[in-house]
Amino acid sequence: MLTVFITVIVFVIAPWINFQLDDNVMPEYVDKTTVDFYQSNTCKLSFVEIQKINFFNKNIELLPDKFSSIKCFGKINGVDFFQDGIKVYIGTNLSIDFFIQSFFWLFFIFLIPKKDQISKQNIKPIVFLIMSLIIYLHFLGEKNYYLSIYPEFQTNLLFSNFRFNSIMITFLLLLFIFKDLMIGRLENFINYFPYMFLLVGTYNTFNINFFYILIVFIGVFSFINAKKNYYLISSYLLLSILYFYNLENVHTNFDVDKIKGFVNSSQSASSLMYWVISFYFFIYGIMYLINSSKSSFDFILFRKNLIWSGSLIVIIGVLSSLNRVLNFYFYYYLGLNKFGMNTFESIQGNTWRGLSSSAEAVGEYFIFILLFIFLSLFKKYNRLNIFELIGLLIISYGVFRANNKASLISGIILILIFFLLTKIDSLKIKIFGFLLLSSCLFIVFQQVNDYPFGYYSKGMLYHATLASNIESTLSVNQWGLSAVDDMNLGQIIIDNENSQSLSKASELILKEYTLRNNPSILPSWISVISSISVLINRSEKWGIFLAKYNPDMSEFIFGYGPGQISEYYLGHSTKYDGGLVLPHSSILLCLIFFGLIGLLIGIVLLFKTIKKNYKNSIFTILITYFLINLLKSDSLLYLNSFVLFVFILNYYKFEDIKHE
Amino acid sequence: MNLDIYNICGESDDKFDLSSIANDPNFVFENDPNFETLLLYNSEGDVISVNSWIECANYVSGGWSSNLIYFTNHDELFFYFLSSILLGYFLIKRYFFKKKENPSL
Repeated sequence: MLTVFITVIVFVIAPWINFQLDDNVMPEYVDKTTVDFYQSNTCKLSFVEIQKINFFNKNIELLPDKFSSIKCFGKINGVDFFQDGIKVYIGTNLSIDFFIQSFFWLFFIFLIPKKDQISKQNIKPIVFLIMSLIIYLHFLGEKNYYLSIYPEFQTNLLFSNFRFNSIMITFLLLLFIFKDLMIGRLENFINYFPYMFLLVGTYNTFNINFFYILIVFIGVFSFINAKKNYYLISSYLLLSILYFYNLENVHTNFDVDKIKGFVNSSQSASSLMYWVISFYFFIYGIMYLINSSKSSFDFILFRKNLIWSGSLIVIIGVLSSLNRVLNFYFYYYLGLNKFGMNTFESIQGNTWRGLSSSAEAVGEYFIFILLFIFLSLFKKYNRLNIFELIGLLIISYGVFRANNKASLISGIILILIFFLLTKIDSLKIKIFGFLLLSSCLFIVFQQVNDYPFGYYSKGMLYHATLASNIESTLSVNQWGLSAVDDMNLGQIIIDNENSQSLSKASELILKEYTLRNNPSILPSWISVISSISVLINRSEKWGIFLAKYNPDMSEFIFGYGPGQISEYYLGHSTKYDGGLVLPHSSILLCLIFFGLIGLLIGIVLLFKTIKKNYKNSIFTILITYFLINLLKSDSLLYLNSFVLFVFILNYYKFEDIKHE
Repeated sequence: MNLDIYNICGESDDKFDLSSIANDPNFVFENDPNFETLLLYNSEGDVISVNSWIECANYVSGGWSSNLIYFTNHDELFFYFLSSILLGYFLIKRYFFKKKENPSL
């Protein structure tokens, strides 16, 4: 209790208190009339001071002023009046954020109970040296990101570069303390990882995620201690050389927005080196955690943590949307990629993402929890207690608000299939059940997507042309319609031949679709993919992907490298260069990062794993659920969803199927 | 009255035109025996002592302050703070936890 008390005082309350009080400047209620008062008294009032009279003020939006000096940390650094409300900027600072957030999150690692069997890890000093080099590469490679926050940000290692030295010292302190906390807890991490969906761990001012650093650290020390697989290392090295060969060294500053901490912001050699090295150790670290936790995985505890994390996400999401001060605190202390919603109303008419940066990803997670619990009940594990039942009700509310229909439908179908396969003995009833299910699914899709027949085969291509910068070059027919409006794909190819307005992917697909010589009665593969995209409401997003994806042959085959999204996003100009429009398919993301070869290897390994372990019913149902959803979602771009996917991929290692 | 002057130098009933002092390079400040001597600092770290309200007001309006922290390089301070924590962490680990592990030592 004393530790909790001290942590709250030191890391949650103290940073926002003003220790240099100025009695002549008193806080006022923030509204249109007091904006000028705050504008002329910047850096004088603390966040805690204004909370006293603005705690329930709904007209304000509290935002971090990431450019603040240390002196103005936690103080009101600006207030601006906008038509939709008043924005209040609270001073935050690179060095202080790194310190406060790291130590606050370390406290939660400290709360994970130790296992009885304490195995002391042999962590050599070289691990810290490697980690320091890795993080140094990050700052070197993504300097533009940090320069946009601090124009005088320097990465030189001079003693007088106090700001950078502070960051490096905090980083080492974080690793040293984590090393001590790991002892006895390492094998227990797997039971508590569902809380990564609540405590996301993205730093306010860094393009780094706390958990990414820690897992990379685990990866480095396990790599050093383990027997090396030189075949794997040399294959990865070879691939890495190809990534460097593919790299067009441009020091961009890609706005990472809601995927902060898990993708690159700059297209530079050192950034690529950081991502290539750290990603290898990241995967190594996750695998080490999974493999070393086989005997300590506690199904009941894991299920309990799933329910608690899911319900807390909903509850805190609601609180965050009701109160602006809490909205700021939750953003900062949970390390959210993006501010939680500050309204209780749905966006785009139907979804409410609450705390999460993506309604789709959080919806997937909620349904995963329900699916896991259903399967656990079926397997006659302990029944749920009353609190867990209440938690389930809360999560169900989250499912309703996230409105991820695809996840919900796939979850229900998988439960029904599971039921049909395991509980029904009669073959006739099984066949009837499958037919009924297929018919229902067909009717649902038919009702949801009421498009003309021709649109199904061309929908994705139509959106690809719509997103491309080709309008000015297009000819218009007698009705005043351009070839894009008219979905005249052949005309688009003729109009844009050699103009490079179309991306290589769009051009290839359009030509393949229009100029192919297909005597078969079967539809082309492009029509099939386009029809699927229309059915699952992804024709626009996949069309935008085609419009943006502009790789040369080597990039297409081997990819840009792990975390390398900026070249895909900024490499070819489209109508969607601003904002962040993601491909909405984790398969397409794999194609961007690891190319066709990587994607094919991944698919083969995946199906080999499924084939080998399909008798493990929970594993099969869960992995199927994920594969269906990853086809149409970007979840793998979020660190927590990625870790969950790798966990499910290895779930067969935990589950005892002797009694099945 | 400028708020900073009021906070640092205090109140004064006399009305002075500070701009006229600034424009006069030969202006000599007279000591006020009733004014308690104050130390003022500038951003370079220089220190001066002022002995009258008008002298104090003149310097404060020129950017001087009674608070040294106001001009301190906070990044440097924070660096030393973190270095102390790092050092403290190692010392505690080395002497406190070692002793705990081997109480006979």
